[in-house]
Amino acid sequence: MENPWLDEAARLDPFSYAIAINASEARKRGFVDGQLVSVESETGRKVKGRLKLTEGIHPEGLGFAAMCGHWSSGMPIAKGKGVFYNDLLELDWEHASPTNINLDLCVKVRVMPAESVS
Amino acid sequence: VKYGMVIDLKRCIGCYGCQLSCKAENGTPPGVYYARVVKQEEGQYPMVQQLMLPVLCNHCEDPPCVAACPTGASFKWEEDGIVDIDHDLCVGCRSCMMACPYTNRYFNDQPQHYFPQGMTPYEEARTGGHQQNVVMKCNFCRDRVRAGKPPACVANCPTVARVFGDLDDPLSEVSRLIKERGGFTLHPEMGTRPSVYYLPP
Repeated sequence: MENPWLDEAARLDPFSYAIAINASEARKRGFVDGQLVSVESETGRKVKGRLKLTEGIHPEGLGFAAMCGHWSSGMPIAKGKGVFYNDLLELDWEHASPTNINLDLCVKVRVMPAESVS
Repeated sequence: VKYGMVIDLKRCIGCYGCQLSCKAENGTPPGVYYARVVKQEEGQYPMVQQLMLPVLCNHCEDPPCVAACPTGASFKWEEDGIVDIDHDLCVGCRSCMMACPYTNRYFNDQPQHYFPQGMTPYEEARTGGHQQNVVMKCNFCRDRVRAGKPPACVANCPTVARVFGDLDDPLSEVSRLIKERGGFTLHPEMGTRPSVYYLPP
């Protein structure tokens, strides 16, 4: 969030800049709250982020807050915070709909501890 | 007159509107929040509830911060019960911050601007007036209240979860809500007797 007040609110919020994952599922896979992980799609696209264990999400899904993960130095407040979810999406005609100009937003991903993939 | 606030946890959706409107009204520097929201989860998937607790200075009847202040900078207004700080008297010892059981006092020693380029014209006008190296806290928007307006967080709450009024008046809406809905305060065991009440979710 480039708006500094929204950025402050997002930093106080436990979910905004994190990847939400079902708590019992995460523990089963050996993840802990706040762990740095890499989320990789089937085609090798990956993003990094910190896990937030929550009960409020389906065990087979991950939760990303949109509008995060900016990298432009022209956005000094927003830069480097959160996870850029769009990095996981395939950008080709196979995954786009020419009728409503939408991308396929469902990605099959794999979560791995970030240390092991560097 | 004893001003107080009632926060309906059943209505609060945790939108941070109070925190942002407070920033806009008071021009507080980075890291200083007169009002903020604390979030917690309750239950297990799939029966989960997220609990939102908007917190601010409780303007206690027996404020431990006022008792802890060595210079008399923290004080309680006789006429309306608002706990306030005289920044000219504050020496920045932070005793009040340790005494406050609600951690709703902030020390202003961080940079006064958000953007790396320095202060924006807005910040110069609003944040520039704040003294540095003093303790800052919510004063129920005393200037607004004296002008007959509700505090900024009350005026801007989109779900009308906050009600502001006179606790001494048994017919006021705050007194009625506390009586009818079973209003409670935070940390009653501390004996501070807060003026901010919460209605159960």
